[in-house]
Amino acid sequence: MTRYIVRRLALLVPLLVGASILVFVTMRLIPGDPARLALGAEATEEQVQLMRRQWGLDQPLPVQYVYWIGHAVQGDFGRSTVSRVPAGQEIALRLPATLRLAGLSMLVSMVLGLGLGVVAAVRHNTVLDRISMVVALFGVCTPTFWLGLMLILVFSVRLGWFPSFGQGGLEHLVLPALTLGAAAAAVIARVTRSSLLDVLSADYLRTARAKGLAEHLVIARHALKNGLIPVLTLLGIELGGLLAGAIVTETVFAYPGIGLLLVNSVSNRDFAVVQAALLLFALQFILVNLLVDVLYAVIDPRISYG
Amino acid sequence: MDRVNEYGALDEEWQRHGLDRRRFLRLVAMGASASTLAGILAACRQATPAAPTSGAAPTQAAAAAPAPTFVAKTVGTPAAVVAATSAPFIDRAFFVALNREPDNLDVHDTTFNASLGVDKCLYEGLVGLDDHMQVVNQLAESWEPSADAKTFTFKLKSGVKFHDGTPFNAAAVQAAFERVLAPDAKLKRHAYFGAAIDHVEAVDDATVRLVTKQPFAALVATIAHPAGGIPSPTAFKQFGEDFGTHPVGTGPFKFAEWVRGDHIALDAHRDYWDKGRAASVSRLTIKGISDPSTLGIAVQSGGAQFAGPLNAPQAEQLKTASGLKVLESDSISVFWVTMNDQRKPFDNKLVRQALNYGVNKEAVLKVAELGKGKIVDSPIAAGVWGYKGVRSYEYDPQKAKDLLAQAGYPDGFKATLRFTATSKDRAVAIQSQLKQMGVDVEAVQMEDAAYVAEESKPLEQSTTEMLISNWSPSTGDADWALRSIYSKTQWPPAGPNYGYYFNQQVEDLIMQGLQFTDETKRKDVYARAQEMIVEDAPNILLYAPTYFGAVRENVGGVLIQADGIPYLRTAHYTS
Repeated sequence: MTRYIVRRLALLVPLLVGASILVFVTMRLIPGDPARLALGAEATEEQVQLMRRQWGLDQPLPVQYVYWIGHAVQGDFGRSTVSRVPAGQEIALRLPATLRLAGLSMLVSMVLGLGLGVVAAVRHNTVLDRISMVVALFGVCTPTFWLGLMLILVFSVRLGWFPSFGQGGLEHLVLPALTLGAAAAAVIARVTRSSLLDVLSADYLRTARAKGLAEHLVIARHALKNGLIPVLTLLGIELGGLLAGAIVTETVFAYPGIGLLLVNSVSNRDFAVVQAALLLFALQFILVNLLVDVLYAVIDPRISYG
Repeated sequence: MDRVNEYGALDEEWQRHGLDRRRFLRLVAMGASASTLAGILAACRQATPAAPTSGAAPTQAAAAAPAPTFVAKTVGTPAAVVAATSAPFIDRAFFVALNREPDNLDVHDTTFNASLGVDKCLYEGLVGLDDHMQVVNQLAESWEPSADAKTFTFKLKSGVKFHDGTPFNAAAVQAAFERVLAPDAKLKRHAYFGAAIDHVEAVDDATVRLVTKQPFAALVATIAHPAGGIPSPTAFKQFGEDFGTHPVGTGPFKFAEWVRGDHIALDAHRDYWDKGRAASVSRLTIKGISDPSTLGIAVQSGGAQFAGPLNAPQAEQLKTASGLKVLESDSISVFWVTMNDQRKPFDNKLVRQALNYGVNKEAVLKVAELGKGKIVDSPIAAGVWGYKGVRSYEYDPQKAKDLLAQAGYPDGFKATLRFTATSKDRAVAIQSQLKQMGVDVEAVQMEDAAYVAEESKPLEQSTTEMLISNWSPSTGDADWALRSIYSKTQWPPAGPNYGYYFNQQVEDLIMQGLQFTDETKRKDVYARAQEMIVEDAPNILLYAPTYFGAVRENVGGVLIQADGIPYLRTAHYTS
């Protein structure tokens, strides 16, 4: 197992290099000049060219890339063309907020999703099952921005229970986490239900019941562990996505996470920030996938890596 | 591939094949890379609202001015309009929500209206613009231009200190200007000042001279713009490239903290030099909220004391909310449809005039701004110095059809209209109206940066036919309102004359306006230029929108200026 993990981690470097090249080239291929955008419509062509020279944008692509990667490995990702703040710092300052939101959203989606899914599977074909699946359907179909705004209007404007924007203590996280968690919870509920239904008819569960084990323990100790593998995969994808920032939710709640930073940076063609952010996301996805693979082995002893 | 579809695909696969680990991982990898790519693409598609940027780059006068005669206004005795003294100080925090987060607080390195609004609290210039866009003395006691309009001598106020204790004097002013004028300065305002100013001399401790490259009567208006704020030389030398997050000026507020992405906090400066006009609140917090609904809700829920600039729908909705006041101000920003005047069929004046008759401007105003704004009767807005009302083409579809037929297009023609996300309503309204005349317009929405890239191409490479455009001249002066859009010197990529308009007579008039320092003469040439431009109809002029802000009932002293910059320094509580 340890060798497996080490092998996977060794793959990290070529994967990141590949991702960085992809990002680097893509950003420079799409139309839009960061210097022109930074200086505005009133700037003369000479100013724009001067700025391009100062930022090294007139160099050939491979030269720019080598310069960038050389500095990146030392932790210097360049400065934002918009704010002049080091790109690494811009991201690092917003990472804690994104982590907090991602964490709470995962919790919400797991509790809601697993709970709903288990209930629906165990009470299969009853009214409870039907209702759960309809709720899940709504969760999947509801646009995030609409749900977010509705939550703000009800809980913030009308009731005043929570603030309507920004970050701070737990009260700032509740509404955004609910918004993000709801959509994911819906899908988790459906998959959990399907997965559990498959497992619930298995022979070994009949044995456990025959041995006199209480039903809830049958579910908790035997059924869930086996039914969780597909759910685990889903959670991994969800975590990867959440860590990349929830753009719409952050916009609606004016929550200072990485998603908003990324969108604004792409709009401004702020190469330094976009490159650094996407490199971070690539790293996160790779690590999350590794974690999920390791957890497979933990949950299911039949799975092992040689 | 968004997350829901990924899950759905997995679910299906699983049902069908009893998904094994390899398939799972393959799908996950595809999903992950697709999400990343989708993330980039979605971010590209999602255009953030483009806040109107301010700032004007003055260019050199075309030729040496004849002996100028100065009107009393241009001599810098203390302004007749004296800024009112501040409201009584209350030890409370004041929360301002703007529609965009400032990019950085280096007064020499930004073009964002939001940043300039905060800069006006932190910095002061030799002269400045008050809340009515009038030039008032700030750090200058008085000033005087030389007879040839090339040398401007400023007498400085005494006893002024920067927030970090550095004394304010002529040496400080010189150091500040030299910073932005340096040829290797990586600052966005380098050309704004560098185009006009040659060098700055410190004559003595309290006297400083600005020398321009050519006779340039508009210099004082140029440095009255917020970009003319004087930063502390000690601070910018110490912080270098990090000065944008550690700003130091002489203003009534000083910088406290910036939680990036979240908010900026300014504290009242206890030792502010002008006791009568000091800050009226102990802390000013500024936050950027880009979603219009959230911005409106921020002030509605009481989280913010002021929110702006707001969209018309948000403003309308907030009018019904309790505890709020909605503020309206006229703007000097104008919207129009640019036509590529060098390309068929728009090179024909009859066609251009026909389209002007064929667009119902009131209807467009109704659709895009809920009717809030003023139909313009000149290429520039009424609040701009030098404005002359000419006429607006009244809505006359029959006349439009007749003119088109006369021009040789009795059945209309096809054209593309490009716009960015914030102008969608305008574009659709115009498209439907032109359709009635037989002009088949394909409305193409583009992402901000791609739009700018396309419209900035030189004429030979340009594919521009029609564009939705907007302009707001921050110095409030007719020169930059007209020259930028209607002079051949500003044909892309050199400048924003995106319609490639050229009329020799108009060109001459605009250049004369730069030379004359006599106000009456300037107004006269600009008036004639406006008449000619309206007659030529290079664009379909639309309207100047209203700027909206909303404040809680118990506060005052905050508003959105006519150029879109928020005026914040007099924020106060009334109860």
